[in-house]
Amino acid sequence: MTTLRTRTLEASTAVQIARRSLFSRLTPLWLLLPAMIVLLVLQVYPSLYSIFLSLHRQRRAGFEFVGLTNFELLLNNTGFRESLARTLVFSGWYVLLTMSLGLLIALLINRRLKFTGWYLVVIFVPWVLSDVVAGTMWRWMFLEDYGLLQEWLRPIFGSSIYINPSGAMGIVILASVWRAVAFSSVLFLGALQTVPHEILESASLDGASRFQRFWRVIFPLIRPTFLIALLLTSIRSVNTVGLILATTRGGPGTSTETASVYLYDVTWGQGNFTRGAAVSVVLFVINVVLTLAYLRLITRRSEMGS
Amino acid sequence: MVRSASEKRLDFLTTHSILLVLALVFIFPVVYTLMTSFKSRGDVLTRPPTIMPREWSLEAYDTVINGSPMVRTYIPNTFINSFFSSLLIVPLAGLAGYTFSRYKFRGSRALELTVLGLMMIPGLTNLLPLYRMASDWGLLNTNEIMIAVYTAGGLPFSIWIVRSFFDAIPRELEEAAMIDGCTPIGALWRVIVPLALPGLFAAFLLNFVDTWNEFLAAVVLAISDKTATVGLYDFQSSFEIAYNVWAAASIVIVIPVLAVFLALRNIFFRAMLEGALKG
Amino acid sequence: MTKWMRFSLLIAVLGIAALGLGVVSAQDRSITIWTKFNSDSPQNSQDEWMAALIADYNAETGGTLTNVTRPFDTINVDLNLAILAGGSVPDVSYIDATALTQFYVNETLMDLTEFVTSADWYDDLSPAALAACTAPDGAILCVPTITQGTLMYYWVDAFPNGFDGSIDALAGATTQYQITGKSAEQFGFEVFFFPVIASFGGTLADENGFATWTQPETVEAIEWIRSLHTAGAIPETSLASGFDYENNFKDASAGSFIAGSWSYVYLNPVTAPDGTAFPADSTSIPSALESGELGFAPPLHKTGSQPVSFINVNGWAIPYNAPNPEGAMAFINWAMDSVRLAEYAAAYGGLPTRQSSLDMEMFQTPYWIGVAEILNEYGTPPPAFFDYGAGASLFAKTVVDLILNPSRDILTALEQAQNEYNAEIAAMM
Repeated sequence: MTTLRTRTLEASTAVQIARRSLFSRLTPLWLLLPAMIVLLVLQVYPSLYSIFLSLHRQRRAGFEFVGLTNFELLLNNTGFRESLARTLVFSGWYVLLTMSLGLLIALLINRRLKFTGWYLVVIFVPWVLSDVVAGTMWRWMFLEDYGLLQEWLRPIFGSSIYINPSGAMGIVILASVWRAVAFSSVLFLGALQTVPHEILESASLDGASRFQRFWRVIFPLIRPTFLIALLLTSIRSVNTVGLILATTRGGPGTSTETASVYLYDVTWGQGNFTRGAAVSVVLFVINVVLTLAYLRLITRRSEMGS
Repeated sequence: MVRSASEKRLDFLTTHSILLVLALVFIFPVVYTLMTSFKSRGDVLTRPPTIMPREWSLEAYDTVINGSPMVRTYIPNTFINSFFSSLLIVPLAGLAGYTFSRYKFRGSRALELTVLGLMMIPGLTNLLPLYRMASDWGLLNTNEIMIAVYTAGGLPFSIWIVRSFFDAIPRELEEAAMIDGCTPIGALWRVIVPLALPGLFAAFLLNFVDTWNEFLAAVVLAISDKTATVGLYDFQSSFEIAYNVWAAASIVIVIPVLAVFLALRNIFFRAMLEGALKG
Repeated sequence: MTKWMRFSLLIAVLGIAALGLGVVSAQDRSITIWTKFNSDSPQNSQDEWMAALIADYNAETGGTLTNVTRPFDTINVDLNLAILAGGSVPDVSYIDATALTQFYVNETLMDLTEFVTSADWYDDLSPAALAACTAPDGAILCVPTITQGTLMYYWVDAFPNGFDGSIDALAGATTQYQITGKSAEQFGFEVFFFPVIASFGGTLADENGFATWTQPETVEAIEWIRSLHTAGAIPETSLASGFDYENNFKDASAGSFIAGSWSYVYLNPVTAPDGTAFPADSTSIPSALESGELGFAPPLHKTGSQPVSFINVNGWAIPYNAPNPEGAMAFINWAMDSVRLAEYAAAYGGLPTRQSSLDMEMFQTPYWIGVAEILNEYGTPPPAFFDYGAGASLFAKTVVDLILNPSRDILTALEQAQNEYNAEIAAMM
């Protein structure tokens, strides 16, 4: 008798749980719906439309299908290929400097000495400035004859740093890193604060150099954050447009014309949106390839962890 | 634990001196911009250049504040766009981030990656379709379209940020609440949201700053309803930049957003640091 | 319902209808225009003219003239885009005639042939300017307003042996730099590269709009431009985007300036080599001219060859799909009044396209007489690139890259750029 009652009770709970799980199986749908609708309409649809554009050419009467002509033209275009190479240079330096400076600042602030918090605030100020403002001011500081930094750096780098192809690239990289470091510092600092203080302390005792200590003990613990920051920084670097436009407009000549600036030039500079769409498809593919490479690293990490 | 006092003092000194140098380097362009904004027109182009104005002048600020709609129109406009888009992002990203954090269903991982993947799309070409849509809907040059575009633009990143905050909140909390008879939504609202508030706030502030400074979408979609960064170009006539005026305008634009950031920095940093974005 | 009630209802309805009609007819005079002039916060005489025009128009016609400022280097593209993407278009737009082929191909603009040929100012128009507004099929797509051309400004004291715009005369400069002028972007192509190359005898486009950049004359001209930089005769800022190179002429560290007839609008304040300072507005250059410190000459050219002045015509156009074409035409008629056109041209810095405007007092100064002579004698329309903006900016980029990399072979680089441009054009045609 008692066993029977227990069983019915169990059965009814099972039904309840089943119902509940049916409900909760639908819950994620309702929760996700608003965000997904917004993204579908304002991000996914325009992106698909861009792919459509990349296969056409434009006329007032409408779009004429031209197949892969736009891509063919692009890949045969030395100017575009060179801009891709410049994207790699820009992105490489940008990622390297943003990550290492961000890490350095985070490590220093994380020593939890007095007053270090204020440095974080100061470093965040460039992040609050807009690309347009920042770019113009960097440009001005490097202006020959009238620019302050140009004047100060003349003994080291000579005149017209801003007009030298590598100098211009350097300025653009520095200006972008200057704006981006704050964010990577705070990401790293967040990760470092989860590292127990004892580990940091004991790591400093074993007599190994600071550098070794960092790589052996601390780095493995913040590695997930490191990879996330790497991913975000990499995507941002490939898509950087505003700051380069405001600082050099891709110049002098084509010295700082990254693929994103090339994209701007083709679309909003010359009004060729169909070819521009093809450029953006190529850029998207580059981002995906880079991201997949990073994701592979993350997956390898979690396999190792488990 | 057994480090000597002198070693500690040395540490203190090196740490502070490195950070101080870095901080000075970081703040220098901003200080220089501030100084430039107090220069007179003739003072801007001096050879050799100087940091401090030779004579302090408010001429540039007069041009920006009284000679243009910057303060009256452009900045309020920017505020509306930034504030409402960031505000909209909070519940949208909150619900989506929570879902990705707590529910695993078929395709959930793929969907999440797709959302993140949206960050990889270069925004520039999407502006053309958006321009077409805005024009079809009669929304060109309105705050509505800017808010919509900014909301969608900031969502993927915000979802990811908010999601990692939810991840940091132990599941046991809402399970306990559900056992107490709460529905999943009720548990979310009563237990999780208060705990995730700093994370939601961080998402708000990140988007607020980003959209405040946004330029390319604003110049395409709202050329006759200018935002502050687009309005900056008022001070750059076709063939010249008056750098002192430009600097003053830059300072005027940055003051509101900097004030917001400074006022809320403690909450922001606490959120960002405690949330520990671990992916 | 009583008769009275019906009657008063009828009156009310009629009243509202009349009111509505009144609004509609007032709206006929209300138009939106796109220009590169900033009437919201005027920075120079062009912007101030725009603001004054709006006030005049609104007062005289009872309509509302709304000016939307578009950046000078994207206004033509913006208009094309608005048509192609079905965006909101203005009733009237400022356009550069250099972009006419693209407007023609994309069918961006309304055919104004009938309107122009029947207008009372038609017979007064400069034929050359009208030709610049005429599409390959003979349709008139814009109403020409101003003809602008390039020339040289120079500090008289900087050239003790005299200055005539020739390359040899440059060498005599006593200032830090012999010359400054814009090299980058489409604008650099127009004011600097094209006139110099044309004076060497190079042509840059064929009659079908394809690029012809590999002629020996073109290579020779670029070699010379490159040597200017190697010798430090021109500030390197001229290779950058923007307009910062102007500072070297303003403070007289450069002896001469590659100018447009409009340059005096922006180029201020200027200070002569002897330290004389001139006012900080568009009267700066005119007063320097008057004082005898500043001179102007035909454009920079190969010694012994004919100079070439780059001529650009700008005008008013009505986009296809303009909401109020009647109002647009009424506005153009109003603005083409010879006095108003003369005021526009003087504020802009070019010659008005109507003879009666050109004959007015304000164009009888030594400056304008000299400008008119240079434009008449040496004026050459821009090369007929099929996609003018793309061609001009690609060419400028290629040359700047050649200057930055002195070891790169000029012919190879030009050939590569030419082939790529032509391939893209072929795909567009």
